[in-house]
Amino acid sequence: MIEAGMLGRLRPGDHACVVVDDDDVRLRSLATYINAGLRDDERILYFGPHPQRLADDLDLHAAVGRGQIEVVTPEDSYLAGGAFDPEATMAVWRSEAARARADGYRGLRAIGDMSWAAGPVAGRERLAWYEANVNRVFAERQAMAICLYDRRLFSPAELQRVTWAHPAAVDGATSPDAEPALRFARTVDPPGVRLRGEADLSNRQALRAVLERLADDIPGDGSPVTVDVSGLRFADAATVRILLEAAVAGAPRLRVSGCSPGLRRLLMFNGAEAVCES
Amino acid sequence: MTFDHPGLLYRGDGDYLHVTTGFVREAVAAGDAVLVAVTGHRLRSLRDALSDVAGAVSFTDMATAGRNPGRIIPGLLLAFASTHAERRISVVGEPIRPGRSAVEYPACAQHEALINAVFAGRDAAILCPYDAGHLESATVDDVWRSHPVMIVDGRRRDSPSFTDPYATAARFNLPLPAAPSGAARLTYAAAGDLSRVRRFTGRHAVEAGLPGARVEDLVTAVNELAENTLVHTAGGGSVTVWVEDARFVCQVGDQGFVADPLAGRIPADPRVPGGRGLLLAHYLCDLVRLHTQPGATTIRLHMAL
Repeated sequence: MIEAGMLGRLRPGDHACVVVDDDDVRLRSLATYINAGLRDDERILYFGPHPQRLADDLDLHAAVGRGQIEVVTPEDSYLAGGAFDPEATMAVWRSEAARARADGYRGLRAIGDMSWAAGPVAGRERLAWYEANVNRVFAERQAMAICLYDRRLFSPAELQRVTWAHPAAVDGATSPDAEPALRFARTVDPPGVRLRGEADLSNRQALRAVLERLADDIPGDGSPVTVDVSGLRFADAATVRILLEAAVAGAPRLRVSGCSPGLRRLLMFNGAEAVCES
Repeated sequence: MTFDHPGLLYRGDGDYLHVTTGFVREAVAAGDAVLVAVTGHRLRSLRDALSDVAGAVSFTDMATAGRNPGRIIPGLLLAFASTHAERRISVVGEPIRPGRSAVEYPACAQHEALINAVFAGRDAAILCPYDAGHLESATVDDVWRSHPVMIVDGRRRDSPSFTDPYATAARFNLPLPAAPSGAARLTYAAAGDLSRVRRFTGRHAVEAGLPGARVEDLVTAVNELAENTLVHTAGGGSVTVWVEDARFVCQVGDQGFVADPLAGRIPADPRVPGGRGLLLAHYLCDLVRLHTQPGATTIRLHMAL
C-alpha cells in the first residue's frame, strides 16, 4: 500500500524514488502525494505523460484553474531543449521553487514521471547522475519531489541505478509507516548540511553527490562548511569514506560534526578519527 | 629481503624462554623493530626476562589483539610493519594456545598458513611458539604444515611437511556446522531491505544480552556483508542468528564466491571503494568463520556474550 504510507508524509527537501508496478498504483500514489500538497498549500508541478488525463482522473481542474497545479508533458519540460539536460532541469526546479514562493505558496511539490527515459532519448545516459545531483537542489528545502519509475519499462539494473541515487525509495513492499531513509537539510548557521536517518547502499550515490559538491554549492568567503552527522542513526563504511573524501577534498574548509561513537570507530578503522569534531 | 617464519615446539617454560628471549635479543641487536604478542603469564614472564631491552621491544597481549585470529595479520602484524616501514620487523606471536575452541581453531590455522603468503618477500621474522606438551597431535601436524622452518629441542630445521600456504588454508575452508533448526532467519534481496537486516540483527543481539556498543559493531559488520551480497552477486541472501556457547552468532549466506583467500586480511586503501566488508567484520567481531565455494558462501560472525 504505497499510496497510504510515506508519500503523504514527505517534507520539503525530500526526493523519493517511487517504483510502481501498474497504472492503478501509480494513480493512487499520485493522489496521496498531490492531496498532501493541496492540504499544505504548496504549488504542485507535474512533469509527465498525459497531463490532461491525470487532471481528469484525479479531478484536479479547479486546482489547475487557480494555478496551484501545473501539468506539463515531458516534451515541454525535461526534453524541452530536444534532449535531456540535467543541469538545465536542476535549474528549472530551483527557479520553479522560487516562483512558487513568489506566488504565495509555501513551497514546491514536484512530480517527475520518468517513463520518457525508457525511450531512446538523447541525454538519458546521464539520468543516474541527474537523480543523484538534483539532491543538491532539494537539500535547500525549498522543494520536494517524487520520481515515478514504472517497473514495466526499466530493467532491474536501470532501476537499481536510479533508486540508489535517491535518498528515499518507495515501492509496493515498503512498510506504510516507513520514513524516508535519509534526509538532507542545508543549514545556514553554520553553513553546511545536516544528515538525518540511515546512510547505506540504498542512498549512497545521493549522499556522495551532495557531499562531493557541498563546498562548491555553498558560496562564501572561505568560512567553514559543516556536515552535521548527529542525526545519522546508521552509517555504513562507504558513508565514512565519502565523509573522509569530502573532508580531504574540502580541507581546510569542510568539517564534520556530531559523530556517534560507532561512526568514530569506523573513522578509526579508516585511520582518520581526527576528521570528526566532537 | 627474506621472510623467516619458524614454528617453535617448546616443552616447558625453560625451553620457551630460552628460544624466545634469544630470538628477541638477536633482533634487538640487529636493530629490528620487535613485537612480542603472547598471552597471560607468558607475557609477564617475557617482560621480566627482557627487562634490560624493554625499551626496544613492544609488548601486546595476544588475548586482546588476537582475540579474533583473522584480525592478527591486518590489525597487528601489518599494522606494526607499516609503523616501522623502514626497518625489518621481528615478532614473537602465539596465535594458537591450548584452549582455543573447536570453532576458533580452523580460523587460527588458516591465519598461520596465510602469514606465509602475506609476508612472502618481506623483510620480517615471525616466531610462533607452540606448547608441544599440551596441544593435540593434529594441531602439531598443522604447525609443521604451516611453518617452513621448525625449532625443536633448541635446533632449527626445515619442515618436511611445509605445504603451499593457500593449500593449507584451503584445508580449513570446510562447511560450517548447521545452524540450529530454531534459529531466526531473514532474507534480503535489495538495498531497501538493508534497514530490516540491521533491525533484525540488532533486536536479536540486544535480546541475547550483547552490550550496546557491540551490537552496533555487529550491525555494522552484518550490513557490510549484506551489501557485498547485493553488489557482488546476482541474487540476495539471508541472515540467521542464534546463541551458542556464550556467543551471539550471526550468519550471512549468499550465492557468491570469495575467490581471494586473503580477502579480509589485507588493509584496504581508504580511498578505494569496495573490498573491505570482510576486513571490517574481522575488525569488529570476535571471530569470523567462512566457508566459500562457487555459488555458495557462508560467513559466520561471533560476538562473545
